[in-house]
Amino acid sequence: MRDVTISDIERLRAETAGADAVFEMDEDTFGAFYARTARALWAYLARMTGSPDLADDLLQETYYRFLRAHAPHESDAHRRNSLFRIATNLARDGRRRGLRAQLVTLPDGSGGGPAELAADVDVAGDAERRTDVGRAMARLKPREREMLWLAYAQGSSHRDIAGTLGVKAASVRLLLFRARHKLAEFLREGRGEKKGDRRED
Amino acid sequence: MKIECPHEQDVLDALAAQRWPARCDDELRAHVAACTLCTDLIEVSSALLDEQESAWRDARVPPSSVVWWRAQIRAREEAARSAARPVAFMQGVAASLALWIAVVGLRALPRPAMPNWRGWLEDLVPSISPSVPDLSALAAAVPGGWLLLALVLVLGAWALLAPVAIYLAADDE
Repeated sequence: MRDVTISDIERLRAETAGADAVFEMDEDTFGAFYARTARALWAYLARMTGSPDLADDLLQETYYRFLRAHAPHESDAHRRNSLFRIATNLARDGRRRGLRAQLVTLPDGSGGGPAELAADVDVAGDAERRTDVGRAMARLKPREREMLWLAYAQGSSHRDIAGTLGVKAASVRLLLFRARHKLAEFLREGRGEKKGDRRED
Repeated sequence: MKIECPHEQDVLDALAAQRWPARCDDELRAHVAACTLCTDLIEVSSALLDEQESAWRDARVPPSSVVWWRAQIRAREEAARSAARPVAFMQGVAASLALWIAVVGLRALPRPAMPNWRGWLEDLVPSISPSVPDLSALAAAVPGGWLLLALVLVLGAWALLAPVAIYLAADDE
């Protein structure tokens, strides 16, 4: 997604000044809700699709569909669940249409000048760890990935996870247990392979 | 099969507060060392919390005002398209009926008035285009004939245009 300039914003403001579409909330309320959810939503979309670029597009689409839904929400948590449910469905549609990029994304290899050498050590370590987690996550089923991310990266409750993913609340506990065990095994396997490689070197 | 451990919440709290493992009490550390559920939980939860942190750092979110304005513009465009759809459909119906009426009207004219047009039309639709006297006779022969005739005309137009309308609606989706 390209950067938005001030002139773009002015143009957009002029275009929308004529007649505001009726959404489920006003702009100020939306701004506050967006501030609370946008980063978490982008992180979720980026990790579920494996593509930051696709996450950029899906973020806009998710908020648009959310605003157009006119669904009554009992609480902020309910509103947030609806948003993540829309995002989940869009990410799944993206996968079905083959829009999913490689789940293991490597960081940009640019830079590397003398001044950046010290920082590169941490970046390389961070990138390696992220790649390991990405590889392990890629071996899970999409629903397992979604469930684990919501539970352990975002700290959602079982009830929220059930609402977001459209599964029965009673089955979340068992599904989560299985997915967690699977991912833990994959992570340990990944570390084991790496140790083996180093010994051979 | 045990799928949940009573210490899970303690482990999650310790991870979230970055107390694990150095600043945790010995009891919790000893429990985790012996509990496969909590070992898995530590493994997965710490990896995903790190992922969340780096994704949060990398997040490229536009300002809320931009997302709002884009949504407004798109909603307006969609509303305009939705409003135009039935208008276009009715224009299609009206055009079809006007054409049909024109054909019937031309055929109803006396032969010397427009001999060339009439001949051309008869060549075009030689057997299935009824003339006004044909229709009058048909309507008079059946009780409530004109109403029935109007109904047949509307249904006929609908049968012709419905597939086009459905195609346009599906295409727009």
